[in-house]
Amino acid sequence: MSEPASESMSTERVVSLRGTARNAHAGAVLVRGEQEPPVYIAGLAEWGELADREVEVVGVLSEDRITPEPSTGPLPSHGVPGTIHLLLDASWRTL
Amino acid sequence: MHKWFLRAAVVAAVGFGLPTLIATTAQAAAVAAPSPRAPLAPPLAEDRSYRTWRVEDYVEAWERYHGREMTEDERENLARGCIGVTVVNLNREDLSNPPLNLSFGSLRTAEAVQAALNKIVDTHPSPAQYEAAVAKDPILKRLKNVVKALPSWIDSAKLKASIFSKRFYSWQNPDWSEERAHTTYRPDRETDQVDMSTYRYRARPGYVNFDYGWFDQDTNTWWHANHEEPRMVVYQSTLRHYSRPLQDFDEQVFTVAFAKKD
Repeated sequence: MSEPASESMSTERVVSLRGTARNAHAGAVLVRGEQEPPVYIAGLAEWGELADREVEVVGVLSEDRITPEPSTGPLPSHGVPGTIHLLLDASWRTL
Repeated sequence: MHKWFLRAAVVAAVGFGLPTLIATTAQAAAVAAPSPRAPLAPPLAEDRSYRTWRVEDYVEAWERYHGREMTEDERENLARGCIGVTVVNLNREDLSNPPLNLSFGSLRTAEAVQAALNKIVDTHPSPAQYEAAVAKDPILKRLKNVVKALPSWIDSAKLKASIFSKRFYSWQNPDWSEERAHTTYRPDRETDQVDMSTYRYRARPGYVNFDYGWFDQDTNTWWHANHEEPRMVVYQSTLRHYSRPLQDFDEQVFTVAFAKKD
Protein backbone atom coordinates (compact mmCIF):
# COMPACT_ATOMS: atom_id res chain seq x y z
CA MET A 1 0.00 0.00 0.00
CA SER A 2 1.39 3.40 -0.91
CA GLU A 3 1.11 6.25 1.57
CA PRO A 4 -0.56 9.47 0.44
CA ALA A 5 1.89 12.27 -0.17
CA SER A 6 1.63 14.72 2.70
CA GLU A 7 3.91 16.93 4.71
CA SER A 8 2.08 15.85 7.85
CA MET A 9 2.84 12.12 7.52
CA SER A 10 2.88 10.55 10.95
CA THR A 11 6.23 9.03 11.81
CA GLU A 12 7.78 6.10 13.68
CA ARG A 13 5.79 3.47 11.78
CA VAL A 14 6.43 1.17 8.86
CA VAL A 15 5.36 2.67 5.56
CA SER A 16 5.54 1.80 1.89
CA LEU A 17 6.23 4.79 -0.37
CA ARG A 18 6.43 5.07 -4.13
CA GLY A 19 8.32 7.71 -6.05
CA THR A 20 11.40 8.50 -8.09
CA ALA A 21 14.88 7.59 -6.89
CA ARG A 22 17.07 10.73 -6.90
CA ASN A 23 20.43 11.72 -5.49
CA ALA A 24 20.84 14.64 -3.13
CA HIS A 25 23.91 16.17 -1.51
CA ALA A 26 23.06 14.67 1.88
CA GLY A 27 22.10 11.25 0.52
CA ALA A 28 19.69 9.25 -1.61
CA VAL A 29 16.10 10.51 -1.60
CA LEU A 30 12.68 9.40 -2.73
CA VAL A 31 10.87 12.16 -4.60
CA ARG A 32 7.09 11.92 -4.68
CA GLY A 33 6.24 15.15 -6.46
CA GLU A 34 7.65 18.62 -7.04
CA GLN A 35 5.78 20.13 -4.09
CA GLU A 36 6.47 17.31 -1.63
CA PRO A 37 9.45 17.24 0.71
CA PRO A 38 12.00 14.54 -0.12
CA VAL A 39 12.22 11.36 1.93
CA TYR A 40 15.84 10.43 2.66
CA ILE A 41 16.90 6.77 2.71
CA ALA A 42 18.95 6.26 5.88
CA GLY A 43 22.44 4.90 5.21
CA LEU A 44 22.23 5.18 1.41
CA ALA A 45 24.58 7.82 -0.03
CA GLU A 46 23.49 7.48 -3.67
CA TRP A 47 21.14 5.31 -5.73
CA GLY A 48 23.73 4.28 -8.30
CA GLU A 49 22.12 2.65 -11.33
CA LEU A 50 18.67 3.03 -9.79
CA ALA A 51 18.84 6.83 -9.99
CA ASP A 52 15.85 8.30 -11.84
CA ARG A 53 13.96 4.98 -11.70
CA GLU A 54 10.52 4.59 -10.17
CA VAL A 55 10.83 2.63 -6.94
CA GLU A 56 8.85 1.42 -3.96
CA VAL A 57 10.59 1.74 -0.60
CA VAL A 58 9.51 0.11 2.66
CA GLY A 59 10.90 1.34 5.96
CA VAL A 60 10.27 3.02 9.28
CA LEU A 61 9.35 6.65 8.71
CA SER A 62 11.15 9.04 11.00
CA GLU A 63 11.63 12.80 11.24
CA ASP A 64 15.09 14.04 12.08
CA ARG A 65 17.89 16.41 11.14
CA ILE A 66 20.26 15.07 8.53
CA THR A 67 22.93 17.78 9.05
CA PRO A 68 23.60 20.31 11.80
CA GLU A 69 21.23 23.29 11.51
CA PRO A 70 22.95 25.80 9.21
CA SER A 71 23.29 29.44 10.16
CA THR A 72 21.19 31.83 8.08
CA GLY A 73 22.75 35.00 9.45
CA PRO A 74 25.52 37.13 7.97
CA LEU A 75 27.87 34.14 8.17
CA PRO A 76 25.84 31.40 6.47
CA SER A 77 26.98 27.84 7.02
CA HIS A 78 26.48 24.68 5.02
CA GLY A 79 23.65 22.24 5.72
CA VAL A 80 20.00 21.29 5.36
CA PRO A 81 17.70 23.68 7.25
CA GLY A 82 15.11 22.09 9.55
CA THR A 83 14.05 18.49 9.87
CA ILE A 84 13.58 16.01 7.06
CA HIS A 85 11.69 12.76 6.56
CA LEU A 86 13.91 9.72 6.82
CA LEU A 87 13.22 6.05 6.12
CA LEU A 88 15.07 3.74 8.52
CA ASP A 89 15.86 0.07 7.82
CA ALA A 90 14.66 0.64 4.28
CA SER A 91 14.36 -1.92 1.50
CA TRP A 92 13.28 -1.17 -2.05
CA ARG A 93 12.33 -2.54 -5.42
CA THR A 94 11.97 -1.00 -8.85
CA LEU A 95 8.49 -0.61 -10.31
CA MET B 1 23.66 16.62 -19.72
CA HIS B 2 24.40 19.02 -16.92
CA LYS B 3 23.59 22.72 -17.26
CA TRP B 4 27.17 24.01 -17.17
CA PHE B 5 28.07 21.80 -20.10
CA LEU B 6 25.20 23.35 -22.03
CA ARG B 7 26.29 26.82 -21.06
CA ALA B 8 29.85 26.13 -22.20
CA ALA B 9 28.49 24.86 -25.49
CA VAL B 10 26.39 28.01 -25.96
CA VAL B 11 29.39 30.21 -25.30
CA ALA B 12 31.51 28.20 -27.73
CA ALA B 13 28.81 28.36 -30.38
CA VAL B 14 28.65 32.15 -30.47
CA GLY B 15 31.31 32.93 -33.00
CA PHE B 16 31.96 36.62 -32.29
CA GLY B 17 32.80 39.08 -29.51
CA LEU B 18 33.87 37.99 -26.03
CA PRO B 19 33.76 34.22 -26.57
CA THR B 20 36.32 34.49 -29.38
CA LEU B 21 38.57 36.58 -27.21
CA ILE B 22 38.14 34.09 -24.40
CA ALA B 23 39.13 31.18 -26.61
CA THR B 24 42.35 32.94 -27.56
CA THR B 25 43.14 33.93 -24.00
CA ALA B 26 42.35 30.48 -22.63
CA GLN B 27 44.91 28.96 -24.99
CA ALA B 28 47.50 31.42 -23.72
CA ALA B 29 46.60 30.63 -20.11
CA ALA B 30 46.98 26.90 -20.77
CA VAL B 31 50.71 27.31 -21.32
CA ALA B 32 51.27 29.42 -18.20
CA ALA B 33 54.13 28.40 -15.95
CA PRO B 34 53.20 25.86 -13.24
CA SER B 35 53.03 26.84 -9.59
CA PRO B 36 56.53 26.71 -8.10
CA ARG B 37 55.52 25.14 -4.79
CA ALA B 38 54.21 21.67 -4.12
CA PRO B 39 50.43 21.32 -4.36
CA LEU B 40 48.29 21.20 -1.24
CA ALA B 41 47.54 17.54 -1.89
CA PRO B 42 48.29 14.87 -4.47
CA PRO B 43 45.99 14.77 -7.50
CA LEU B 44 43.27 12.14 -7.51
CA ALA B 45 44.13 8.80 -9.02
CA GLU B 46 42.72 8.46 -12.52
CA ASP B 47 40.13 5.89 -11.43
CA ARG B 48 38.80 8.02 -8.54
CA SER B 49 36.22 10.78 -8.75
CA TYR B 50 36.65 12.02 -5.19
CA ARG B 51 38.52 11.54 -1.95
CA THR B 52 37.27 12.21 1.58
CA TRP B 53 39.48 14.08 4.04
CA ARG B 54 39.13 14.40 7.80
CA VAL B 55 39.09 18.09 8.74
CA GLU B 56 42.28 17.75 10.79
CA ASP B 57 44.10 16.15 7.87
CA TYR B 58 42.91 18.94 5.58
CA VAL B 59 44.09 21.57 8.07
CA GLU B 60 47.50 19.89 8.24
CA ALA B 61 47.82 19.89 4.45
CA TRP B 62 46.60 23.51 4.24
CA GLU B 63 49.15 24.60 6.86
CA ARG B 64 51.98 22.80 5.07
CA TYR B 65 50.96 24.45 1.78
CA HIS B 66 50.66 27.94 3.26
CA GLY B 67 53.72 27.60 5.51
CA ARG B 68 51.88 28.78 8.61
CA GLU B 69 49.33 27.66 11.17
CA MET B 70 45.66 28.21 10.46
CA THR B 71 44.40 30.95 12.77
CA GLU B 72 41.53 30.48 15.19
CA ASP B 73 39.41 32.74 13.01
CA GLU B 74 40.20 30.63 9.94
CA ARG B 75 39.35 27.42 11.84
CA GLU B 76 35.99 28.93 12.76
CA ASN B 77 35.39 29.84 9.12
CA LEU B 78 36.43 26.38 7.95
CA ALA B 79 33.89 24.86 10.36
CA ARG B 80 31.12 26.49 8.27
CA GLY B 81 31.46 23.67 5.72
CA CYS B 82 32.02 24.14 1.99
CA ILE B 83 31.69 27.91 2.19
CA GLY B 84 34.38 27.87 4.87
CA VAL B 85 36.75 25.88 2.65
CA THR B 86 36.51 28.61 0.03
CA VAL B 87 36.82 31.42 2.60
CA VAL B 88 40.07 30.04 4.08
CA ASN B 89 41.54 29.56 0.62
CA LEU B 90 40.76 33.14 -0.35
CA ASN B 91 43.05 33.88 2.59
CA ARG B 92 41.62 37.36 3.18
CA GLU B 93 40.83 38.64 6.66
CA ASP B 94 38.45 41.22 5.18
CA LEU B 95 36.04 38.65 3.72
CA SER B 96 33.23 36.93 5.62
CA ASN B 97 31.71 35.30 2.54
CA PRO B 98 33.13 34.58 -0.91
CA PRO B 99 32.29 37.50 -3.24
CA LEU B 100 29.96 36.51 -6.08
CA ASN B 101 30.10 39.63 -8.25
CA LEU B 102 32.37 38.06 -10.92
CA SER B 103 30.35 34.90 -11.55
CA PHE B 104 30.08 33.18 -14.93
CA GLY B 105 28.16 30.38 -16.54
CA SER B 106 31.19 28.38 -17.59
CA LEU B 107 34.60 27.48 -16.22
CA ARG B 108 36.12 28.45 -19.55
CA THR B 109 34.98 32.06 -19.16
CA ALA B 110 36.10 32.18 -15.53
CA GLU B 111 39.57 30.97 -16.53
CA ALA B 112 39.83 33.63 -19.24
CA VAL B 113 38.80 36.37 -16.77
CA GLN B 114 41.23 35.00 -14.19
CA ALA B 115 44.09 35.10 -16.71
CA ALA B 116 43.24 38.69 -17.71
CA LEU B 117 43.11 39.84 -14.09
CA ASN B 118 46.36 38.11 -13.17
CA LYS B 119 48.10 39.69 -16.16
CA ILE B 120 47.17 43.07 -14.66
CA VAL B 121 47.94 42.40 -10.99
CA ASP B 122 51.28 40.82 -11.93
CA THR B 123 52.37 44.39 -12.81
CA HIS B 124 51.59 45.41 -9.18
CA PRO B 125 49.31 48.29 -10.20
CA SER B 126 47.88 51.04 -8.02
CA PRO B 127 44.06 51.06 -7.87
CA ALA B 128 44.01 53.79 -10.55
CA GLN B 129 46.39 51.84 -12.77
CA TYR B 130 44.25 48.72 -12.27
CA GLU B 131 41.11 50.59 -13.30
CA ALA B 132 42.85 51.98 -16.39
CA ALA B 133 44.14 48.53 -17.37
CA VAL B 134 40.67 47.01 -16.95
CA ALA B 135 39.22 49.70 -19.24
CA LYS B 136 41.70 48.69 -21.95
CA ASP B 137 41.37 44.93 -21.63
CA PRO B 138 39.16 43.43 -24.37
CA ILE B 139 37.55 40.91 -22.01
CA LEU B 140 37.39 42.79 -18.71
CA LYS B 141 36.08 46.07 -20.11
CA ARG B 142 32.81 44.37 -21.09
CA LEU B 143 32.12 42.93 -17.64
CA LYS B 144 30.41 44.43 -14.61
CA ASN B 145 31.98 44.72 -11.13
CA VAL B 146 35.61 44.24 -12.24
CA VAL B 147 36.84 47.48 -10.70
CA LYS B 148 35.07 46.98 -7.40
CA ALA B 149 36.34 43.39 -7.21
CA LEU B 150 39.81 44.70 -6.41
CA PRO B 151 40.46 44.92 -2.66
CA SER B 152 42.30 48.23 -2.95
CA TRP B 153 43.36 48.07 0.71
CA ILE B 154 45.61 45.07 -0.06
CA ASP B 155 48.91 45.58 -1.88
CA SER B 156 48.24 44.32 -5.40
CA ALA B 157 51.57 42.47 -5.33
CA LYS B 158 49.94 40.13 -2.79
CA LEU B 159 46.88 39.37 -4.91
CA LYS B 160 46.08 36.62 -7.37
CA ALA B 161 42.81 35.94 -9.15
CA SER B 162 41.39 32.55 -8.18
CA ILE B 163 38.33 30.50 -9.05
CA PHE B 164 35.62 28.77 -7.06
CA SER B 165 32.27 27.32 -8.07
CA LYS B 166 28.93 27.59 -6.36
CA ARG B 167 25.94 25.30 -6.77
CA PHE B 168 22.61 26.61 -5.54
CA TYR B 169 18.82 26.70 -5.88
CA SER B 170 17.43 29.41 -8.14
CA TRP B 171 14.19 30.14 -6.26
CA GLN B 172 15.80 32.70 -3.97
CA ASN B 173 12.66 34.74 -3.33
CA PRO B 174 9.38 33.00 -2.39
CA ASP B 175 7.46 35.77 -4.16
CA TRP B 176 9.11 34.98 -7.50
CA SER B 177 7.24 33.12 -10.23
CA GLU B 178 8.70 29.86 -11.50
CA GLU B 179 9.66 31.66 -14.72
CA ARG B 180 11.46 34.40 -12.77
CA ALA B 181 13.38 31.81 -10.75
CA HIS B 182 14.45 29.94 -13.85
CA THR B 183 15.68 33.02 -15.69
CA THR B 184 17.24 35.18 -12.98
CA TYR B 185 20.62 33.42 -12.93
CA ARG B 186 20.88 32.85 -16.66
CA PRO B 187 24.28 33.98 -18.01
CA ASP B 188 24.48 37.07 -20.19
CA ARG B 189 24.52 35.90 -23.82
CA GLU B 190 27.49 38.07 -24.77
CA THR B 191 29.68 38.01 -21.67
CA ASP B 192 28.55 34.81 -19.87
CA GLN B 193 28.43 36.86 -16.65
CA VAL B 194 25.74 35.89 -14.10
CA ASP B 195 24.13 38.59 -11.95
CA MET B 196 24.16 37.18 -8.40
CA SER B 197 22.93 40.37 -6.72
CA THR B 198 19.58 38.80 -5.78
CA TYR B 199 21.10 35.66 -4.26
CA ARG B 200 20.14 35.15 -0.57
CA TYR B 201 21.61 31.74 0.46
CA ARG B 202 18.14 30.10 0.50
CA ALA B 203 17.85 26.31 0.24
CA ARG B 204 15.37 24.29 -1.74
CA PRO B 205 13.07 22.97 1.03
CA GLY B 206 14.38 19.66 2.35
CA TYR B 207 17.79 20.00 0.73
CA VAL B 208 21.24 21.43 1.45
CA ASN B 209 21.45 25.19 0.98
CA PHE B 210 24.46 25.37 -1.37
CA ASP B 211 27.80 23.80 -2.24
CA TYR B 212 30.94 25.83 -2.82
CA GLY B 213 33.91 24.21 -4.56
CA TRP B 214 37.38 25.76 -4.39
CA PHE B 215 39.32 25.15 -7.63
CA ASP B 216 42.77 23.76 -6.91
CA GLN B 217 44.47 24.40 -10.24
CA ASP B 218 47.64 22.59 -9.17
CA THR B 219 45.74 19.30 -9.09
CA ASN B 220 42.68 20.13 -11.23
CA THR B 221 40.42 19.18 -8.31
CA TRP B 222 37.66 20.93 -6.37
CA TRP B 223 37.57 21.18 -2.58
CA HIS B 224 34.18 21.18 -0.88
CA ALA B 225 32.45 19.53 2.09
CA ASN B 226 29.47 17.51 3.29
CA HIS B 227 28.19 20.16 5.74
CA GLU B 228 29.33 22.33 8.63
CA GLU B 229 30.76 21.03 11.92
CA PRO B 230 30.19 18.77 13.76
CA ARG B 231 30.84 15.64 11.67
CA MET B 232 32.16 17.74 8.80
CA VAL B 233 34.38 16.07 6.21
CA VAL B 234 36.18 17.70 3.30
CA TYR B 235 35.92 16.37 -0.24
CA GLN B 236 38.52 16.60 -3.00
CA SER B 237 36.60 15.97 -6.21
CA THR B 238 36.86 16.00 -9.96
CA LEU B 239 34.74 18.68 -11.60
CA ARG B 240 32.45 16.00 -12.96
CA HIS B 241 31.83 14.56 -9.48
CA TYR B 242 31.44 17.95 -7.81
CA SER B 243 28.97 18.96 -10.55
CA ARG B 244 27.03 15.68 -10.67
CA PRO B 245 23.23 15.98 -10.89
CA LEU B 246 21.75 16.54 -7.42
CA GLN B 247 18.20 17.43 -6.43
CA ASP B 248 19.41 20.27 -4.23
CA PHE B 249 20.61 22.54 -7.02
CA ASP B 250 19.44 23.83 -10.37
CA GLU B 251 22.19 26.39 -10.92
CA GLN B 252 25.98 26.45 -10.94
CA VAL B 253 28.34 29.37 -11.46
CA PHE B 254 32.10 29.69 -11.74
CA THR B 255 33.35 32.73 -9.87
CA VAL B 256 36.58 34.69 -10.03
CA ALA B 257 37.80 36.45 -6.89
CA PHE B 258 41.05 37.88 -5.63
CA ALA B 259 42.82 35.69 -3.09
CA LYS B 260 45.72 36.91 -1.00
CA LYS B 261 49.11 35.27 -1.45
CA ASP B 262 50.99 34.25 1.71
